[in-house]
Amino acid sequence: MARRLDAFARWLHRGWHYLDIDLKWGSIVKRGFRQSQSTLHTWSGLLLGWVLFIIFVAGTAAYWREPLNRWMRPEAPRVERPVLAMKAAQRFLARKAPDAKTWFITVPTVEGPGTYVFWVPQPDPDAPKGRRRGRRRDTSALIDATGAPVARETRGGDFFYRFHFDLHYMPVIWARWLVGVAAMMMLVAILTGIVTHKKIFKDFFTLRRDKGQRSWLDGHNASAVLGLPFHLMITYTGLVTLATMLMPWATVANYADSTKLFTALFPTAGEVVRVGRPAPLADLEALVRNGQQQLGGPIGFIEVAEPGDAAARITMTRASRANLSTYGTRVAYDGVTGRLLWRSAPPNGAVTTYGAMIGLHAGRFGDLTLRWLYFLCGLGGTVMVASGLVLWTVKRREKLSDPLHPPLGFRIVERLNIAVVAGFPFGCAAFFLANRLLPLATPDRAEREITMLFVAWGVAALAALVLQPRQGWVALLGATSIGLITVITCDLLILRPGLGQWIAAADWPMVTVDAVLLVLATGFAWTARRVARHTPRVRKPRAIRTATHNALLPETVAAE
Amino acid sequence: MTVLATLLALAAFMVFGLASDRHHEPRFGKRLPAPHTRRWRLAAWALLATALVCATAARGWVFGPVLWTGLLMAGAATSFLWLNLTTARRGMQR
Repeated sequence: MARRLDAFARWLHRGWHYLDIDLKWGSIVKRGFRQSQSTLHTWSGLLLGWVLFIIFVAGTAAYWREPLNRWMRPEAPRVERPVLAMKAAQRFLARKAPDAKTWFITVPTVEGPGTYVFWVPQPDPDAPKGRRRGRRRDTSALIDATGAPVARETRGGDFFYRFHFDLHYMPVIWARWLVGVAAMMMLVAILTGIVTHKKIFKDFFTLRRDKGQRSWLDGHNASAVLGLPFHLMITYTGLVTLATMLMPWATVANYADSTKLFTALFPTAGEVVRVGRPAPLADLEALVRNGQQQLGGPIGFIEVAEPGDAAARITMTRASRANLSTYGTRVAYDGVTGRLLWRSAPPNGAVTTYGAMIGLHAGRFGDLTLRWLYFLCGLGGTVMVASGLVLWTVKRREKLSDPLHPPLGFRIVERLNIAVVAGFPFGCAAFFLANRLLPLATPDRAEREITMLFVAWGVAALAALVLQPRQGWVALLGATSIGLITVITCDLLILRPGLGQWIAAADWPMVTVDAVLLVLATGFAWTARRVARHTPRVRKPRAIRTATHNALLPETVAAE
Repeated sequence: MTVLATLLALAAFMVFGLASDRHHEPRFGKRLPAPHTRRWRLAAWALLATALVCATAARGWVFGPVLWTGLLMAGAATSFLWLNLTTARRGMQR
């Protein structure tokens, strides 16, 4: 067994060896399995650690996707009765696109800002062939509870959701491969981490404070082991969401073309042919009520084919939040008489398993308690990645022969850590601030907000490059804190309705967002202060340290 | 039931933590003999099992275990912070 494991480790390491990373092959074999896993842990964690960090931040924020969607559109009145909001959206569609081929309506919830609708116009027979679609903005809208389009143009929480796996400024397919590889590295890092830090379970409750490297290690271990079920689940199911792209062979072998796979996941009642005889649409409210009974859960999505025509058909999909599996079953009704036409077959085992994993990853089924647990676990994961990145430099700094002139690789990692771990949150603060301060009439406003995020992040990265590391950390962490406080101040003083009105109206979801930002701002300020006040401990000369390194550990334990 | 499950999970990890020498000695002034440690740990496991029953009763077979796992992590993290942040201060005074 041991020999087989060793051979496996050797095989794993050959890959690293070719990358010509600072590995000494002979010593790896001699040092044994655990040590080799340690090396693998270090490098798999480091190389894509920065990507993982931003994926974690965005994914954690995305657990509040709908609340953030609403918080970033504060003008939209609160959705009190989703059914009324949906009917308001239907009136908007009837006015805006009465002869569309299809309407798509996302049934609103009390959490969100309103109803997302989009529509497909009738195909124009004179139009030249090929995919000539108009801009998405011209065929989609967000309708508030009163039936008017929402004024503040923003991506809102959807930005974090998309950014979590599509990143930005790059083709989606590249981004997903990058994210997929990062997730794979994460899985490797978690599994090797369990082997490397063998004492994580024995030292489950151990945190040695103010002990330099040991404290960092304890903190890294704690954030990893306390959330271990979450970390394993989120990484594995994250890979599953990208599985058909990362490992296409199973689908290629079983489905001749991708549309067949799509129909397996999203079954439909078939094509609707327009007859050209106008007829009024059936009452959506009654149909939604019936659909809820038929499907045994809330309706998430409504598709109206050929609205206003005698052949109209209404298809309803059960909401993702209704069950663990994200793929809901569907029913179709005659759009004029409201007669039940079709019911999708119950999904097979593979679809349910796949859907359950995606559901577990996204946590859409979660009520407030579960959502908070997911969010806290996400924060824990973010801290784990960040502390791991910092630990890389902390460990190596102690061994530097000339601390004033560290080698180039060390400096690159050190600066990149500042640019990403402190810089990306700063960018997010700028994103929120842009949402509050950019005039509503700004052209391309939603994209401008995102541009502000990347401009701020770019500035932060420059600062990380120019400033001394400690100044860089303090400046960026402090700036993030100030930025978040400014956002809260805007909500309190400028925005109408703002924080004061939300508290008066007991609109707690909105108040909670500001409260969380305040907690985060305090956390960043506290960290900045800790870094600013940190005095590096005086090191003993290096030769003596290495000799007594192992002997030191029991001493530190005994000293407590 | 959800609240009960939360409290049970928290209590379980408190007992786990206090069963370790590191956290038992500063708080109770003496080491816990090995057979007692085992009894404490068994009690903690029993608490965890009860928490699973409560979580399942609250959310059913599909979501109950998910909630339970989440509460385990929350309970572990809370007792971790409490145990460490309060002893360290005492430790400094000594």
